[in-house]
Amino acid sequence: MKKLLQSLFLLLFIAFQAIAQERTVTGTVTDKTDGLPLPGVSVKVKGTNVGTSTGGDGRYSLRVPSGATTLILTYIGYSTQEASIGSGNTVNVQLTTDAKQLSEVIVTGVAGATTKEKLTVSVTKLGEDRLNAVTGTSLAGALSGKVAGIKASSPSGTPGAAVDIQLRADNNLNNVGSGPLILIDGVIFTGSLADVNADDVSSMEVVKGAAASALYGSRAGNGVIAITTKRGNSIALNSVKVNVRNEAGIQEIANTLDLSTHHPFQLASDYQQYVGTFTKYQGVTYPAGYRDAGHSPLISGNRVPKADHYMDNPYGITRNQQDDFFNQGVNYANFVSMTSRTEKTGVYASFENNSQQGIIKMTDGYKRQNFRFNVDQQIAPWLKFSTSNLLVNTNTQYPGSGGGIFFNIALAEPDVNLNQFNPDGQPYYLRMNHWSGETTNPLYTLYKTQRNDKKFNWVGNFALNARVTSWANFDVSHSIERSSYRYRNYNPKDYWTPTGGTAATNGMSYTNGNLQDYSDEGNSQNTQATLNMVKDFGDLTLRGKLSYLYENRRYENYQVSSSQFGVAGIPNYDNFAVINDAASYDETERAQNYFAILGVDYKDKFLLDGMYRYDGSSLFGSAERWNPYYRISGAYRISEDVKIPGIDELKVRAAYGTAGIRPGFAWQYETFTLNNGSAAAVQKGNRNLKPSQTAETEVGLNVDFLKKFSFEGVYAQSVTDDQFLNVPLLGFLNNGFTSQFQNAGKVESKTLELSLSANWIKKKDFSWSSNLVYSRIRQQITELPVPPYVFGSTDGGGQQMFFIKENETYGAMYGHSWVKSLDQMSKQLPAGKTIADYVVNSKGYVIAAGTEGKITEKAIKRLDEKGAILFDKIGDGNADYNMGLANTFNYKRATLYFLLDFKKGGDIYNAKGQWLTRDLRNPEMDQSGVAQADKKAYDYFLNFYDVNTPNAYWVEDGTYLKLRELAIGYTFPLKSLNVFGGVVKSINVKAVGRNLLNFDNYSGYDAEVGSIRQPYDGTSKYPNFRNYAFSVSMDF
Amino acid sequence: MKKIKFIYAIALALFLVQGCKEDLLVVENENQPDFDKVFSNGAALENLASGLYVTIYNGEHAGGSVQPMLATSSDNVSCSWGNFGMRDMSWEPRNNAWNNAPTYAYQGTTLSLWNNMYSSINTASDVLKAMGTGVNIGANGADNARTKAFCRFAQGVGYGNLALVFDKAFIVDEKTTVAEATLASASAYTKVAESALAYLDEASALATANTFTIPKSWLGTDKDYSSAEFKKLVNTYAARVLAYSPRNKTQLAAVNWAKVKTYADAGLTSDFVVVQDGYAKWYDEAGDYLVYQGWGVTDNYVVNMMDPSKPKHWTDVSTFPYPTASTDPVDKRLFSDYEYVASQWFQAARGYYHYSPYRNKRYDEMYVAAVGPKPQIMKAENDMLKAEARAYTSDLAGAATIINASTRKTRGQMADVAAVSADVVQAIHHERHVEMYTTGMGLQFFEMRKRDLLQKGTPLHFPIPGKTQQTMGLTVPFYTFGTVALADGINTSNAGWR
Repeated sequence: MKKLLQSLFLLLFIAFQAIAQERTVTGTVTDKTDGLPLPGVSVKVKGTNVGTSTGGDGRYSLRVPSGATTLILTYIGYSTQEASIGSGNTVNVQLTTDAKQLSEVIVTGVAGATTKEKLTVSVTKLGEDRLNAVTGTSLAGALSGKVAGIKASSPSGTPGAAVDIQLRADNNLNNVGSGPLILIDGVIFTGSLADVNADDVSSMEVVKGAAASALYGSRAGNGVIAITTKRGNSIALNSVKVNVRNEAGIQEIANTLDLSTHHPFQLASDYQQYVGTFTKYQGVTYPAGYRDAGHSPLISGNRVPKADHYMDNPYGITRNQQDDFFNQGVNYANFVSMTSRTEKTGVYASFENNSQQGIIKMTDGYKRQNFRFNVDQQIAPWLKFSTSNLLVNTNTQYPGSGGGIFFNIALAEPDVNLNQFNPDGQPYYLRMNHWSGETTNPLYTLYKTQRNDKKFNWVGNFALNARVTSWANFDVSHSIERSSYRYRNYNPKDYWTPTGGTAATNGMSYTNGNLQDYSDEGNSQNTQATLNMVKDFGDLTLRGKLSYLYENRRYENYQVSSSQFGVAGIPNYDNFAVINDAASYDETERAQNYFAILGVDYKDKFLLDGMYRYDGSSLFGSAERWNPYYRISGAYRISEDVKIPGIDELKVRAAYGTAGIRPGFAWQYETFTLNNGSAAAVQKGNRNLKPSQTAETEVGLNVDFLKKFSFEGVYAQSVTDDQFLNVPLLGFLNNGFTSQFQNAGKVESKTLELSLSANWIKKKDFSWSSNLVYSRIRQQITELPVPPYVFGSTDGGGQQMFFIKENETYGAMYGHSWVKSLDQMSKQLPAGKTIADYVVNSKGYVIAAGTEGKITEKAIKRLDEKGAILFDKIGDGNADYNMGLANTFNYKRATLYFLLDFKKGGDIYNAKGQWLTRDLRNPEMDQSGVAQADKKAYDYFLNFYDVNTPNAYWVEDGTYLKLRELAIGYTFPLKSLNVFGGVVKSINVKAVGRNLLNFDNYSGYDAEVGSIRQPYDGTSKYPNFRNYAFSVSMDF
Repeated sequence: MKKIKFIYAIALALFLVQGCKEDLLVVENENQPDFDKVFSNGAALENLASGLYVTIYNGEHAGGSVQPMLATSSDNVSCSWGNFGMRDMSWEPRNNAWNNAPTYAYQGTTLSLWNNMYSSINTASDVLKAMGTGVNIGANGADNARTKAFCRFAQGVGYGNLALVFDKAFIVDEKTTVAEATLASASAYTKVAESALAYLDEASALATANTFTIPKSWLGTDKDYSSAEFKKLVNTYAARVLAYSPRNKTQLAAVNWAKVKTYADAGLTSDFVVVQDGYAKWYDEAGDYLVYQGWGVTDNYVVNMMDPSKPKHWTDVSTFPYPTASTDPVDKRLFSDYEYVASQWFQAARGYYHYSPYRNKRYDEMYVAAVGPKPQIMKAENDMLKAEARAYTSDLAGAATIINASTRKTRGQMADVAAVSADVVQAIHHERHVEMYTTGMGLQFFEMRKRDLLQKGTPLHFPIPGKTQQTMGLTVPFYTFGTVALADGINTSNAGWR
């Protein structure tokens, strides 16, 4: 197969060369702005098929037929121009840039730079204007609501946390993710976009679906996002530009949790004497001077519910502990960039300092420095050197050591005082609630636990481009991604734990501390050689690439932990008698990839693309080491043939292509797990393991009309088979091996994407433009040759509920459900009962007649035909559709921009609400102010809690509308800048808001919660927050 | 043209040179060994053997193992939290079947025991198979006997645990297999227990015929075990399998107690202690949850044994009077090993019957950082096996003598037990609940089971895990045990102490 491919490469290469032509008319084509020669410009004799392209020095030579009078010069990003041949033999031409066209030139996933009009696949390009109308704190959230077919969810509000991004459907069953391949300036980037600053970005190209991304083969089954950063050529020749932008703002939680403020317990007859001090319960004896709600060994007796079990009794003190826990954080960004351009050299360098404190007290949050250095150097007229470099340095101080603080702050009862003292005088008494041994003071963790994370990344690319002929140039590049990440988790020697102590220490003891260090390092070195070819043959233009990519990736990590320090205050491993645990991990991946792509453009209206790629990776099993990918796509620009009034551009297109996802590192191997030197069988190897494969068919329609509007509609269908399934084995018949990764199963999806951009008004002093995007995605598991299974993250021992089952929607939630009609009940009547024994209560649930409002009132679980509790679909995490609407208004020098992001449907499993119910903290349990006839005992709600068993009661609609971005800006007039003596060339001020307003009916912090695949709201989630800031940008 | 040729040459060279390197894509897994590596030579086989027991230990004591639910369903520990099936298996009235659906949140509890036992059994079998081909361990096979003995020990303990907990299992070893895994090809627990004894007997015989040392890292102990000490451990395990297997009183009477006596008399003479190493390799996590603040409390059934003035059961009503702290318990361990809980952390809505006025504090200090010794099998446990064997072989005086020299007296400061059958049996019952609290796995469950004391509706053993049945190709619903309706005294308790 590989030999065949190599032959194909050579044939394609020779074909380009063989059909080169002779020339007689000569000339030089230059850029009108800077006078620099333009290589690769198409030069044709008007009315004929005769044509050529300019060379690296901008020169061309063309044999023209007699009688020819005019040349037509076309070049991507420049206005097409005609030039008279005249009587001489030399025709020099200056071309003018076309800003609109330049912004819509696509380079990712195609045979060569292509205008939007000539695309045959789905690639959406976002320019800086749309990306940075509100400059993102990073690139992580930059695409939300801006591109049709993109789903984005912020599963954690933690400053610096990654955003979950998915292009079109989730095609992969749960063992692999569905995040796209990220390229920054052509370099594969495996880090987090949350660590990449937004100011440097010039544009982003979103390559959606396997057909479009096929060029990236076995890494691109989830699509590609290609980020291009600024370079020296963005400014005029022989000029220097310095930009300084400073931003400062406030971060704050948008919605705190609504929680119950009443309890069901009997109050002491004299409780009112203690109001403001503590809640005095009947049947409990308190020590003298007792205050608040903390644990005391001197308290005896139990609080006892009142007979009615209504939660309508007041606490002695009602605090909102969330006020003690959340605070307003500060964020700021300081950015400076320098752009310089001379005839042969272009430089772009920048530095950004970014700080996001977040919303949790006693927590510094996230600090980041980004350094960028991009250089282009023309070594000779035919040879150019380019380098792009990004350095990332981050430092994050996490709140406490994990998610437990969010569990504890939600479950703290209203009379708990988080600011009590521990027995040794340390603040934030750990045992904050006498009545709950499990929930401890979250502020103590914030105060005492030190968790610091540090990252350093270098993403660099070094490339040489040689113009070989007028129609071919050759790229050789080497890219490097180095990453290091480490964290330390430190609990000092005097760290309290609730157990192991005496009455004098309220039962608590010191843990004697512990220390954990983790470190990992990645090193990816990729080398690529590409021959780029563009050649006109009259009406026919061919664009092609032959490329070879070698990938070499190394990753390693280690960690060590120990407990019980010898000496206080020394977080050092020599300070332990023994080291409890240490672990390490190494992996290497090597891959070789060959690809060839050819784009055919006939008369600017018939467009055909074909490509083939052949990937070999060490991640594939030894019997499946090489896997092919291909694409065929075409478009017909109808408007080139048929002029329809009002229609400026009309194109139909279709594509079919394949792309894949590589397996995880260890999946092909037979493995024994190691534990302190001893081995136990785990996984049977699979030499036939290969990448999963997505095949996608898409059709598209592009219409530009009335000189104002641009519409794109795409319908795509994909089939992903050879999924990665971790198939269980019977250990006793398989040498103890209990699982094996196998390729099996199929997911099919259908996507409809609609985009409309409109320039409603475009006048000198006022303009208004809009972008509307819509996508509707459906995905289904159509083959599953293993028994159905649940998966998903949960917390605190809860049950998983996302169900993988043949012929079921991928994203379906399964669990128990409740009888909601007498008709349902009539089908599952217990022996001896009639339907008259049941009624539907005021909340719509069937209960035993006569129990409403009593402690015996309980909803009834639905049963299946065999009388067992029904296990069935209770929700679907997939949105019905997503929409985004951006509007930009310019009035003179003022700008107003806002972005609305709308998600319709898509269920959330509210496990947090379920947990709150366990501890009587769910606000719907609070019966204070509820009419007596409508009151419900807490037992009624606890029945729905059902010990965290997934059930339909906790499935909530995840519809939201967000004011995602808002900017109000003003650019000062030039003359007002004279005060700076001409040094300052531009000042722009902006007030910006991010996630300013949420409209949803969700009962948690925010309906944007969980990942796209698993919209599960557990108790450990750092809530998303809003941010408003003021930004000043100055050009020098 | 020169330039073009030069670039062509570079391109083609790069392309062809890289293209030729086929082995470029062959990468070793540097993290986990494969079969060839772990079975490569004698030293590798010995290393495999060294890890057999920790696999068993983790199967017994991981947080998500069966230990917590066996403790709550036997009314030894009370815990209303749903984790690990603790609540579902201790519900009152006791009318829950073991939920054997693969989708059940706690399906992993029985599965982890099943898988870990087979992991150890299979590895032991493979080591023995490799040794059977002539691979020697140590110089000239000097350590062959030790490795073989330890493999047989792991097979014996593994099958012993399967026999104690499951109704059936598959018997496979280096010579035996089953052609196809079906319910019919699985062996009843009695057969599994017989196999366990055979493996343990062979381990014992090897320890008798040879002299060797079991390194402390193999067993997690604080010291190396001589072959003589190892043999004692093997014997205690064998006595356990026999004595703890009965599902009801009828089967109890049919136990070969003379054989138990032989085993136990040659059993442990000191505690078999596993040193907890700070959550790294040896961690009785289940035992931690069963005593941690806010989690397990001591069931009233046990409190009442130590102080009969305290209620044996907390009635499920809000008006139940809160028991006061004990001032004069018959068993002084109520002071030394347990502590009074003046108010409850469990929620009333989950049933007042989960409440208890006492919790165990014996291992609190160790569990602060999970560093230190935790008994896996106490000498007292072996003492009680010796006493029990005598009690059921008409040597009540001998039984009483053993009991009165054991922890009942030395730690509990209790009155001597008389050489009366019911008293002796009750005294053994007492020690298993009080002294052996959270040691081993399921001791109290096995004790209650064979005396028909598990509350009516409690499963007497557990079905092959649902996920395993699914892998066997069976479909839902998977067979299971439990509920009052299925109470037959064979698979589900039809009696009970209440």
